[in-house]
Amino acid sequence: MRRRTVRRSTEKPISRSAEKRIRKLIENPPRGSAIAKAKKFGVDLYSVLENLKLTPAERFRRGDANRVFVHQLRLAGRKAGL
Amino acid sequence: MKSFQVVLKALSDSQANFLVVGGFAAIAHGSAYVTDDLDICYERTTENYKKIMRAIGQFHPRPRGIPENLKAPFDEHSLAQGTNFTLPTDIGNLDLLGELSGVGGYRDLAKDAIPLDLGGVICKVASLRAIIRSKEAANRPKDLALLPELRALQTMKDAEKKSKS
Repeated sequence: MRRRTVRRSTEKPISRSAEKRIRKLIENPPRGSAIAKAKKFGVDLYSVLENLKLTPAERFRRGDANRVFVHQLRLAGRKAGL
Repeated sequence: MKSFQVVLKALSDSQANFLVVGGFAAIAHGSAYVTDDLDICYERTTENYKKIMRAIGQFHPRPRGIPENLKAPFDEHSLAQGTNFTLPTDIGNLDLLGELSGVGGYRDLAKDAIPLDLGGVICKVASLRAIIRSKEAANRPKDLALLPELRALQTMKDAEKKSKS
């Protein structure tokens, strides 16, 4: 069987300068911008910024671990008769 | 409960044509969303149905809503007869999507998909813009609730690109 080669991702965690730039945007978002709207909506943008400091693989692993934790919480709740 | 990485590895090993979409694609881009299902968009060809089933058969997928004690085999013929499937499996919920509202099928999404290393497995992941378009088109409350975060994330990514140039 012929082996396919998939181009390796160049996606990396954000740089320190990008982090600074994004942090400034979160602190003082332009009026009417997507960041201002998200802030008003109650999105924890610092949590998103923390995720951007990880690699996609680390983000995926974290998302997967959260899923397992939620599953365990559900099981524990069911076991306790909640 | 096993990691979804085993599903991605199995799909990759079987040489199936697939993309990670939905919540886990958003997470790979940086979203803080928490989801319990893995959404996969697959190419709708007979050859690919076989590859998909070769990969996921080991996790015993079954259509949602069928009691676990009733045998309802899910195989490549089932895939050929439908488009989108929600499948509880031994390791969690797997959604197999032949088409996504607002963006189309595998070939449409593959155009601007990004190959990402998701822990040793290089997978194509839908672009953030495609995820946003699909959530807008789906127009369900749970999708709309995610949009402010995804649009902000897109703005952050644009700002990141600016700081590079």
